[in-house]
Amino acid sequence: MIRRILVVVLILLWVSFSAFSQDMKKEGGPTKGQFTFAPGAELLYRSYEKGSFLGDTYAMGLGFRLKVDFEFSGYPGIGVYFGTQGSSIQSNRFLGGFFKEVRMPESGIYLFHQVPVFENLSLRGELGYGQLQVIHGLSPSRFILDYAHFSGGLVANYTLAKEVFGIFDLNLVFGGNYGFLNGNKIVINDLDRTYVQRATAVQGVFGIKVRYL
Amino acid sequence: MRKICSQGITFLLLVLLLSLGACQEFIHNSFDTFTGKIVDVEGNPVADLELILTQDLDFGVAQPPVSKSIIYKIKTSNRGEFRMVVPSRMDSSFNTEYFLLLSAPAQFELEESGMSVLYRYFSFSTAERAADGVIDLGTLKIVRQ
Repeated sequence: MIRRILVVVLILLWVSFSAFSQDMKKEGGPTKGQFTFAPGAELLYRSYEKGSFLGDTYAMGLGFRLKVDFEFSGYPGIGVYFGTQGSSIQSNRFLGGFFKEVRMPESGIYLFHQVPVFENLSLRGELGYGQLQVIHGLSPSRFILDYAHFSGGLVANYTLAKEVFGIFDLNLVFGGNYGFLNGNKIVINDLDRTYVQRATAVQGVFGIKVRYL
Repeated sequence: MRKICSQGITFLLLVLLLSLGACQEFIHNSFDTFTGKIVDVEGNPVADLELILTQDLDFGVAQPPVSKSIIYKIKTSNRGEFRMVVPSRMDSSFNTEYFLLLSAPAQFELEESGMSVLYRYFSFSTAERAADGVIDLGTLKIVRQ
């Protein structure tokens, strides 16, 4: 039930962002339709909800994410990302103690829409889809679990410097998102299936972004 | 000559890729589940019995066999049932055999050629798993000493 409410809230937020941005554009801002792309690097921390396999089995550490936004100013944009997060394996009843190390790379795509709030501050809504891999051990004794990751969130962009050398803006980025993970490819007995295949996650990010004009 | 060389290199790359695939020990996105029920000689479920799952059993001079490393140590439920989950191993792997040991002074009573034989361990392999990864070990009878 809580999940459904959160999804509805995220969709409403997304829709209201579009309407809000059109009002802002009338008051001035970047030229509508101007193409920009913006590579960025972020530190991230994601925590999985306890009571799921991902939440109970792994102690999460700090991670990073590299991303690139593509946008025609004033319209929703699209971006791609790749990242990974450090973690360690806790005592559990699924992995048999076979592995000492684990890596969690993820790559994906997201849609976003950004609206200015103040002169140097803008807010954006993001909806993302990624593929998370949980890779235990080292080849040839690797054991991989694949999860699809659907997420939505809010990110604030603070412009530190405008039109540096006349070609880019330097932004500070911070925000958070909420995500659902689905590992429906994972084969396991009926009783443990939901516990292993499903999880929710909260994620915080902090980083910089260079927006080329 | 060049054509023969390029064909040779392609063949070698294919062999390398296939051998790397064959070396893979675990089946990704797959867990094996060992289930079963422990009963006593009268067929009553044995609750709260400690079971040890291992792949590394020392059959040396020590009696009974000792597990050199323990995968899980669990207790049976009120109905004598147990369930253990491990990552699935390829059938080609050398590590598909598991052993179940009893912590209590008891032995498994197994049928062999129509006769009852007592064993200090129960061995099984993962060769015959169901589509959901379950390997049902059935009802295992134990005899307390």
